[in-house]
Amino acid sequence: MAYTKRENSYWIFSRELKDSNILEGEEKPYVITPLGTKVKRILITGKITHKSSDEKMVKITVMDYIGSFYLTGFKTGFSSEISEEMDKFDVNDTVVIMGKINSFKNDGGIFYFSINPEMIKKISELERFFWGIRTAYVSKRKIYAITEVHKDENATEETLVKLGYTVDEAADAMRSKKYYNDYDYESYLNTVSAINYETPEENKTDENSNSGNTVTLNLDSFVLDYIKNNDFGPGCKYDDIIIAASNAGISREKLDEILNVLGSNGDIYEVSLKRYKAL
Amino acid sequence: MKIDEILNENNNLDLKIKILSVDKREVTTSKGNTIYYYGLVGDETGVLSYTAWEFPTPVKAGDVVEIKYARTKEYNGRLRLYFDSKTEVILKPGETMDVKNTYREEKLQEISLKIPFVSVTGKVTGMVKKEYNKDGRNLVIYNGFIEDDTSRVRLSSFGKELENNKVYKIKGAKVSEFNKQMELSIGDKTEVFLVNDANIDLERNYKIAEITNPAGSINIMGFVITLGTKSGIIKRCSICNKPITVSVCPDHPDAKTVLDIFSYFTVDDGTKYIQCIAGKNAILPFLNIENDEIAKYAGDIYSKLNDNLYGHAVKMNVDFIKKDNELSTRVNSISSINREDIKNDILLNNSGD
Repeated sequence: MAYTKRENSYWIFSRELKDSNILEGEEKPYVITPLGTKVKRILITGKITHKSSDEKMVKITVMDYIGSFYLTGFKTGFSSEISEEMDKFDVNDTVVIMGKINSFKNDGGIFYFSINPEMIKKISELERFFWGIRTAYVSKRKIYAITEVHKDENATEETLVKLGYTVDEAADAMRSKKYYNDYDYESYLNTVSAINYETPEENKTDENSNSGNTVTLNLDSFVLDYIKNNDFGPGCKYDDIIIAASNAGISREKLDEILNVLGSNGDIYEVSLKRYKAL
Repeated sequence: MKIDEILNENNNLDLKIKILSVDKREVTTSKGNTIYYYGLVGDETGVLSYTAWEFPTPVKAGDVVEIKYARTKEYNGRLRLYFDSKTEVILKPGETMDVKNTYREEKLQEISLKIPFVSVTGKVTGMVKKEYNKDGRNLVIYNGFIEDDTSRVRLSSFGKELENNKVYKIKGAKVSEFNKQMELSIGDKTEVFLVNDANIDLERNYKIAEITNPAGSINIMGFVITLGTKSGIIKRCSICNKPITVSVCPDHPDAKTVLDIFSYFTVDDGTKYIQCIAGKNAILPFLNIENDEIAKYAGDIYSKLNDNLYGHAVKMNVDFIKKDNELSTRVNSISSINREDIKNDILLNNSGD
C-alpha cells in the first residue's frame, strides 16, 4: 500500500508556540519555534477553558499544562465539518486536537497564533497526562541538544547525532541557535520541569486504580505552581488564575483567600494591578 | 600482517587473505554509473568486510590472494578494508587457507543484510518442528523466534533442535529477509550454545524515532491521528487466505469465505508518526468482540474504530517492516494506555537523563 508523506504533527506546549517570532516560507509559512521546531501542524491536548460560537465561527481556548492554545473553526467552506465537531464540546472538556497553525503579525511586530483543527476528540485525563509527559520529554531533549550546540561553537548536526540525538533533534537545535540565540532556554526548561501534572480528577478517588488511594491536591501549591509556570515576564494574570482555579474546582472566594495567604507568607506579590509574581 | 593485528585505520596494508564472498553493486555518481565490489575476506585470525573500487576479474570467492597497498577505514563503527586503484591483488593459484570465523555479537534490532553472518544471544520462543522432503531425503526444520531486549526475530533451524524459553548464544547465524522482516537461520556451520542463568528483559518499550530497522514485537505508545476510511470487514478465501473483492475467490470458486478485519491508521508518539495495519487478532480484543461475533458487528466495525481508536492514546505491540526503505508496522495487539504504562514511560524517559 502506498502512503503519501504527510506533514508531521509536532507535540509542543503552548509556550513554545507563544514565544515564536520567526516564519519561514511565503504562502503557507512554517513557524520556527524557539526550540527550533519547524512546524505547520501540531498535536495538543488540554482542557477547554473558553468557547464562543456564532453563525460564522467557533472559537475555543484550550489550556495545556503551562498556557493556552486558541482554536478557530469556520462554519462555511471546507472546514465547516470540523467546526460542527468543535461545536459539540464545552468548557471543562478534555480534548486532543490536531491542527494547522495560522499566524498573524500585528503592526507592532507581535505574533499571534491560532489553530485550525483537523481533528478534535474528547479524551481522558490519563491520555492528557500521557501527552504532557511525552511532550515534556520531547521538549527537554530539544533543550539538551540546544545546550550542546551552545557549548561547542563548532558543533554541527553530525556532532549531535554522534551524541545520540536524532537527525530531526539535531536540525532543530541548529535552527534554534540560528534564530533564537538569546532565548531564555533555562526558563523554558524550568517551566516544563515544574509542571504539576496533578489534575482535578486525581484529587478524587481514581476509579481505574486498584489501590483506591486518594491523592490530595494541595491548593496553595497548585496556585503557587500555576503562577510560577505562567509568568512570562509581566506577572501572571489574575483572570488566568481564576480560570485555572475554577478548572481545579477552586471557587473564586477560596482562590482570593489562597492568594492572600500566599502573599502574606511572602510566596507571591502583586507586581501590578491583578498580576502576580512568585518569589 | 594478520587480520587480528589490524587495530586502527591504516593506509598501507599488506595481507595474505582468502576471499570469502564477492558481491557487486552499481551506483550512479556525477561521473555516470560505477560498479563497486564488496564482501568478506578472512585469514587464520579473523574475518573482515571489504569494499573494492577495482577488482581483478579472475578473482572469485574461495581464492587465496596477496593484497598490497590496501587501507582500512572505520565505517559504521567498525573497520573495513578498502581496495582502490593503488591496491595490488595477486592471485595465489592452488593455495588454501583455513579461515577463523569471527562473528560480531549483535543485538537483534541491529542485524541487517549488510552483515550476512552474526553472533546473537536470545530467548527462543514458539519453536515448532516441521518435516519436509528434499531430493528424496526426509529433513527436519524448526521454526520459531529468538528474542532479546531489542527485538523478536523469526528463527529457522535446519536440523538442530532448540528448546522453547531457553536462552541460546548462536554463533554464525545467517541473516536474511522474510516478509519484509529480518530472519535468522541456523545451518550446519552455525554453533549453538545454551546459556544458563540468563535474564533477558523482553518488555521492549521504544519510541518510534528510536527504531530504524524492521524490529519485531516492539511496544509503542501514541495517539491514533488518522483512520483509513476503508477500514472494516473484509472477506478472505478459506483456502488461500487472499482477500476477496468479488463474490468468490477467482482461484478457489468453491471455497468458503471467512470474515476478517482490515484496518489501517497512523500513530504519532511525539517523536515520529508511523503507518499501521491491524487485522482481527489485534482489533477484536481491543473492541471487546469475540471471533464468532464478527458477522453480528460487521456494519459497526468502522464506527467502533472511529469511537475507540481514532484520536485516542493506545499502547500497541507491533512488528516493524521495511519496504522501499520506509518503515511501517503490522500490529499484534492494541490496548488503551493505563497508569502503569505511563509510569514505565516516565522511568524510561528518566533513564536517559
